[in-house]
Amino acid sequence: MPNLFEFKSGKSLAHILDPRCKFFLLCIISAGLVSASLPMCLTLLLLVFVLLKSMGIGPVRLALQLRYFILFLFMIILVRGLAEPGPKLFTLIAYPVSISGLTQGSLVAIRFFTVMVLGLVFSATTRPSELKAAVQWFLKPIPFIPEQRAGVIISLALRFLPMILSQAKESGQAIDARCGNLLKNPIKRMSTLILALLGKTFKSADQLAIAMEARCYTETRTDPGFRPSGKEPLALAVGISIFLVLICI
Amino acid sequence: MSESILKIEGLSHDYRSGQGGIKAISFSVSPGEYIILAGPNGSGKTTLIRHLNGLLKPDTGRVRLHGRDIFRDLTHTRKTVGMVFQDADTQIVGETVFDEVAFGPENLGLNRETIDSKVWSTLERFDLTRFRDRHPATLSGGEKRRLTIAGILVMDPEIIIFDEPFANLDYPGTRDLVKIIAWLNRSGKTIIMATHDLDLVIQDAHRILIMANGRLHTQGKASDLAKNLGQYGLKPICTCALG
Repeated sequence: MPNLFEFKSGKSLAHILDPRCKFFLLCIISAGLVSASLPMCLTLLLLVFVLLKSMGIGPVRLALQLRYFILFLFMIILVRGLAEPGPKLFTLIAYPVSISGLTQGSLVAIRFFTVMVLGLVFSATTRPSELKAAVQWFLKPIPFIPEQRAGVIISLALRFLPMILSQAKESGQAIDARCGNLLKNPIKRMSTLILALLGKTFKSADQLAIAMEARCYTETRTDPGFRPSGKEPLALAVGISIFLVLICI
Repeated sequence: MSESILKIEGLSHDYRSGQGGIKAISFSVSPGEYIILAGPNGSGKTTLIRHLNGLLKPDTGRVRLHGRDIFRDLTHTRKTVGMVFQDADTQIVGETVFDEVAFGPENLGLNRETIDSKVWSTLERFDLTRFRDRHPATLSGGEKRRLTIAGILVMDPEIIIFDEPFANLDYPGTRDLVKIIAWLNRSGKTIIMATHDLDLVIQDAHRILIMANGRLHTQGKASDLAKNLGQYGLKPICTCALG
C-alpha cells in the first residue's frame, strides 16, 4: 500500500492552492482546534473527509494507514476515562471508567486526529520543494533566522519520512519471513527491527547525500515559483471563518 | 583523439577499514572516448569513479579536468562530470519525475524559465513526458534508469560516468540502455562505465581499463583485450570464447 503522506500529483482544490495559503490555513485551523468543542471538531473532521475523498482517499484506507495512531488515540481515551472522577460508565478490571473522562478523552483524541489528517492532506498535496519555498517565504522577514537552512531541513525531513516508513515495512517483512513474528518477547522483536532499520536508514541517508552532492546540491538553489490558482482569497476566507467558528462556538 | 579532457595522476585512496581503496592510478581520458572500467568486486572501481567528480578526496595524487585540479571549482566539475549511480533509487531525490530532472538545474541556480524548458526537452528526449507528474518509485527499473540519466544529462555534462548501469535491469531495459549510452557517445559525450557486463558494451567501447586489488592492472583497446579477459578474472566475451 503506498504511503498516504507522500506527495501525489493531482488537480484537486488542495493541489492547486498556493502552498503559502495552504500552510497558513493549516496553522490557523490547527490552532483553532485547540479550543474547539466536540461538535465543531466532528463537523470539521467531516469536511476534511470530503476533501480526502476528492483526492481519492477513502476512510478505510485512511484508517488502515493510521491504525497505530488510532490505537494510540484509543489509549488516550481509556486513560482519561480511568483517571477522571465522575459517574461511572463501566468497570475495567475493578477500575471505574467515568463518562466525563471518556468524553474529555474523545475530545482530545478527535483534535489530535483532525490535526493529523489535515497534515496528511497538506503533505499529500504539496511538493517538498514547494513547502520549503513557503517556509522560506514566511521566515524571511524574521531577523536572525536562516530561512534557507530551515527550508532545507524541513524538505529533507519530508523526503526521509516516507523512506524510513517504507524501509521499516521492508525490514519487518524480512524479519517475519524468517519467523520473526514468533518471537514472544516484544522488546527483542522491536530491537531486532529497530537495529536493522537504523542501519538501513543511515546507509540510505549517506547514499542520498552523496547522490545530491554529485549533482551540485546547495542551500541556495532555485526554488519553484509560486503559481496562485486564483482560488486563494476564497480559500483564505473560508479558512479564517472556520478558525473563528472553532474558537467562538 | 585530441588532448585529454580528464587526467588522473597517481591517485591513491585508503579507507580506514583497510578494505577497498585504490593505489597509484594514472590514466587520461580523451574527449568523446568510451571507456570501460572492469574488474572483480572490491577491485576499487567505485572508489575510483567517485574521485572523478570530487565526491572523494584522494590521499595522494590528483584529478585534472581540462588541465585544472577538479577541487578548484567543484560546482563546475560536477556539472561537467555527471555520475549515474548503481542504485537508481538512492540517486532519485525528486517527488515527481519532473522534480527529479529539475533537481540539478535548480542547484545550478538557473532561472525558472530556463529550468522548465531544459527539463521539458530532456523529458521528451528520454520519452518520459507522459510520466512527468508520477512519483519516481512507481516507474519500472528501465524507466528509473532513463530518469537518472535524464537527471544528469539536463545539466549538459561533457563526461558521463556510469557505475554498474545494468544492475537489476531486465533484458528490454538493458537493451534500451545500451542503445542510449551508445547514442550519448555518438552525440559527443565522453563515457566512463564501470561494469561486469562487458558482453553488452564491448562493441561500442574504445578502451578497457582493468583493475585488480585497487591498482590499474592493464589497459588497452577494447578489441585487443576482449580475447584475454579470462586471464584477468573477468567473464570472457561469449563470441570470443566460442571462437
